[in-house]
Amino acid sequence: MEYPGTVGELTARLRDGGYLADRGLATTLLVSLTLRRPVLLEGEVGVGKTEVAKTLAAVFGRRLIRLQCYEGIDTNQALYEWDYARQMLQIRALSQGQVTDDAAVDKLFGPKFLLERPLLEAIKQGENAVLLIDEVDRADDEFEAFLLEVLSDFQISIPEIGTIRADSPPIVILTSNRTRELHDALRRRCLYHWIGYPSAEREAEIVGVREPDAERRLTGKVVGAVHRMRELDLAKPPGVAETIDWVRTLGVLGASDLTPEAADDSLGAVVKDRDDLDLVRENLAEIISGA
Amino acid sequence: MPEGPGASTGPITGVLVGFAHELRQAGLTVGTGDVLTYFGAMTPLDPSDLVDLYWAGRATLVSRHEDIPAYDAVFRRYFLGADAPARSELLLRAQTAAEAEAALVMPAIDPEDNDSDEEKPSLGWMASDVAALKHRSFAACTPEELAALRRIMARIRLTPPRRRTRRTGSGTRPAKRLDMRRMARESMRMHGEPPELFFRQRKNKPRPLILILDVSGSMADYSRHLLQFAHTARRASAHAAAKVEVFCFGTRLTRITRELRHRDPDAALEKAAQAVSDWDGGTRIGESLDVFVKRHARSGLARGAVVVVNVANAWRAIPTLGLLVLLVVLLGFSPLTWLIPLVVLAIPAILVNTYEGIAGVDPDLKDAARGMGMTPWQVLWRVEVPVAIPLIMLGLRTAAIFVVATATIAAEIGLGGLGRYIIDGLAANNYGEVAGGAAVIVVLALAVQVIFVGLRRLVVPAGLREQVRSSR
Repeated sequence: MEYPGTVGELTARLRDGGYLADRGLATTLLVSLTLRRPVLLEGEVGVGKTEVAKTLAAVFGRRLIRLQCYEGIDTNQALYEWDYARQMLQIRALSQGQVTDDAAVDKLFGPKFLLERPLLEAIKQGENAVLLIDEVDRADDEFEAFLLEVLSDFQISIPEIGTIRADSPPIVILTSNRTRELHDALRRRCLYHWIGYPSAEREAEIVGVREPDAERRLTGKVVGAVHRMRELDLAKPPGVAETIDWVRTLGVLGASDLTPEAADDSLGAVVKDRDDLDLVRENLAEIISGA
Repeated sequence: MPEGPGASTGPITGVLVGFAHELRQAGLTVGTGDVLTYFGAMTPLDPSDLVDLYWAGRATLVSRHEDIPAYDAVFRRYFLGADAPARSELLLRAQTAAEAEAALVMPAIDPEDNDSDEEKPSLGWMASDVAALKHRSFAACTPEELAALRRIMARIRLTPPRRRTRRTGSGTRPAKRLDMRRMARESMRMHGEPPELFFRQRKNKPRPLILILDVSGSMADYSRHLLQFAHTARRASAHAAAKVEVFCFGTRLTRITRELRHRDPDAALEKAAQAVSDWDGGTRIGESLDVFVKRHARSGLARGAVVVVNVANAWRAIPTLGLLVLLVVLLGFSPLTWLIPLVVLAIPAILVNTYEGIAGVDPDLKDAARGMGMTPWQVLWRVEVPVAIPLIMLGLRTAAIFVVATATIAAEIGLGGLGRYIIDGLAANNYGEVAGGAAVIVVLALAVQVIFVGLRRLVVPAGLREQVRSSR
């Protein structure tokens, strides 16, 4: 697989895929592609952490394999699982047929009964996959420790089958919303990049790429309003995804200008918290008129 | 590592290693492996391009958001400063001055300014408020203190309440999901005969413990002990596999969990002292808690956690005399006026002891009581309260002695009582009278003590008496 050789080239490829990466992110990704290291992306909610992996997969024609983390996720859900129902049926069948053949028993733990979960799938696919481990911070310590092992060697041992190794490691992107401190050891394994909120111009540009039909003037106003909202003391400040949503919603509503009425009607696209909604409504005139 | 620094990278190697060294000096943890990765990262990049140097370093040498400002500072000093070590060797050779200037804009603007502005204004505001932000240099513990501390530490066992997690283990108690893995295994052993049923059962896990410590001026005497307690709790939590987060607040909230990670209590407290900048200042409980909720709790830190704020102590810190004077203003001279402060004084001791006593009742005992068919009220009155009685009595006794000793202040506002002699004596320089008054109060306090000892003998159930004697 051919990777771009320079930061500029990579940025251009990502842009073709609809993702505007700034210099820092592009550099980090380029280094990760070259050194085959996982990337840990942290940042506010809705700044496009997950999108990075999706775009990488699309641009380089890889398969995106996504592992959504949650509390209590364990190897059965992340790595592999045997198809027990079928195995049990097989066992019954075998015992009825009085089979003493070793091969028949071996088959019980063959690929036929193995259910691949994202991590195993990614390792088998190797270079042909982009593995997105989403919201690692939601998983618990035990899982993090397990992940450590997978990410350092890109190999998995299944007692019944043996060791499965990736010929060439997949591209690995981890994202975290920082609800929990990740362990240092895991951080060490990864390249680290923090994605912050983009500047107003950049955000307008991003919206332009994602929603080419949106009117530039409206976009500018929306971006301005969102930036002012982020300055308010909100529980859930709107991310870039919300900005795009808002522009899209306004488009659907057929609004050509960000009037207070139009904004009020479509506020649900940006503000996702009851208390925040009250706060924003109070300051709505200010937020919009600044544009 | 697919990379080795090429022949042409000779001088750069030195520069980059020097840079990593500087970062370590600034407190970042940069391992040799990280430096190797940094070299590796320069392969697809241009080592003479400052922006590439900056971003490659940030991706490889920095591993947490909080470290970025420190990294920026070191980078600026090392690569861009007037007498920057790297400037002569590297940059001027490869870059024209103009290009270097253009590159300089990038890190100098500091991409983090946008993100961390929540931090910055509050800092500026603190400064403009001329709040007394002082770093406290803890005198190192004396050897005796240290020894005592170690003894306590060895004994502290942290047992935070537990909660059910979503992680499951195997068991035979019926639950929603079957443990298929184990079932399959077991039936293989039995030649396909289905064994007894196994289920996936949710495991229990200690809740995280969050300590929010008041280190403001009114708590100055305690702050050191509080920190020691926090440090000890953190160390003890390792045994219980519980998580402990520690915050300090006076006028602003500081998270000192990482600082307290050090094994040695002295070093840990030293580090914590450096991190906290508002020792012995004012107290802004509300604001600090607001910051805690907004910045930490909302992001999930406090999810399912036990949050301990040392408010009970603040309660004690309400100056009894001040309250008394206030009540005189509000209520005039009536029995209520001196009664209320004394009640307020007595509450914490009784409350804490009663709570601890009830909470400490052996769960097996309660289980047994329920098993005998007792109703919750019966369990409370017939099991929990009798078992907790020794501690409750202790609280009552402490409170009573507090009250007897403090009741003297009623004289301060002319309400009479035994305090009269002390205050009059002090005013008239008649120390005999003071001593006499004090002696009477001491006798009274002792009498109260004796009464309570007798009372305890009466109320503690016979079955507990032996146990109490041997444990106290």
